Amino acid sequence: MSTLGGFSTALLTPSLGSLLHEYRAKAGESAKTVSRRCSLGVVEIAQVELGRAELDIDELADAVSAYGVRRSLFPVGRCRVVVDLVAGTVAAHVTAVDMAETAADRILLAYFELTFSTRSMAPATAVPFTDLDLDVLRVILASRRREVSEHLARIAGPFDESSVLPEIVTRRAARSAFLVLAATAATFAAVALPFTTSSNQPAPVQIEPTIIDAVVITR
Amino acid sequence: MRMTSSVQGPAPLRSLPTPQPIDVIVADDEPADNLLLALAAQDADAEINFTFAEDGEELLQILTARVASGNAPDVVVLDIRMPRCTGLEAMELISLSESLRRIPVVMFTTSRRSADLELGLSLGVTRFEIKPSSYPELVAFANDLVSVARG
Repeated sequence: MSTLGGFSTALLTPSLGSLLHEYRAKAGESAKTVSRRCSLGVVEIAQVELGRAELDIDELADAVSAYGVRRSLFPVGRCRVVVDLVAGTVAAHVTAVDMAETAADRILLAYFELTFSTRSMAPATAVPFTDLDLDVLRVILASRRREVSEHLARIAGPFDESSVLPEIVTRRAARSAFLVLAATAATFAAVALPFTTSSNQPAPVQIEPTIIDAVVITR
Repeated sequence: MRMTSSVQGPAPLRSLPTPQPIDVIVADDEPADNLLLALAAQDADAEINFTFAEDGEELLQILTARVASGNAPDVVVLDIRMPRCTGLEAMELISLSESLRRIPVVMFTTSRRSADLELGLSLGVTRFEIKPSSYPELVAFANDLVSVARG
């Protein structure tokens, strides 16, 4: 069991998929009925419920909407989602003014509605990252990509090339080695690819060496 | 024959050497996943030094530079879907290099396509892991990385 930001764990361990499955079962609806309300087929709905769907954020938001989760704790258009990257928490605050909801926010708020309502939790409760369905958390963090990138850079500190790639010569070596590697790959591609028929074989890549730019976390 | 002295007290206990942090390069274009993996490693108390690359191209640049300077990472974690150079394209280039293909590579992806799995394994991927949907599983994965690095 882990803690983050002083919160207890295991508050919201159920996955979004299992909660949607329960919700649909209680409503007495079939997967086919749900699929008719969105752009997804029955198989994809089943995959959503199993947590195996490979959907983009808009598709997932569309699917979640199709379940028709009634938002009473988190009224539609009246919630502000707050992601605290320092504390590692997500909270939704009900507001008196209209708030625009992104697709990511709609997914989170449906998830919160399903979990908070069965656990008698106050709507403004800040939930640690560790207690959320990771797919839901990924969606929320991905929708705040710039902030997450900046936070990652902050906790990592500035990239110190000398700590990883001592001396400028390594950059030259990198360039040389990379060119050799790319040349080898090109040769391989020229020889091997004409004999391959699989569409899964990756196409030869054209890579130009550029300045190395990476983030290092040293704990 | 081993002799012990009854006069002398027991030898002072010597603490075990602290394991060195492992060195992991993660190639993933999604900062959210990188942040979550770093948090999971902290919660796992896994001593991991992370370097993050945005895609396969940047990974190859870092890898070749590291190997050239005798500073190869212990493990590479590789996503599949990335811009410019995908994980499988990067893995193909890694597999062609005598020095790079010795580095354990863990494919860490949302892809459940058997074709990706088969191609990855055929190119020498050490492990193929589906990105978990729960945080405890991610913590376990961070611990697994230490195991992979230490053989």
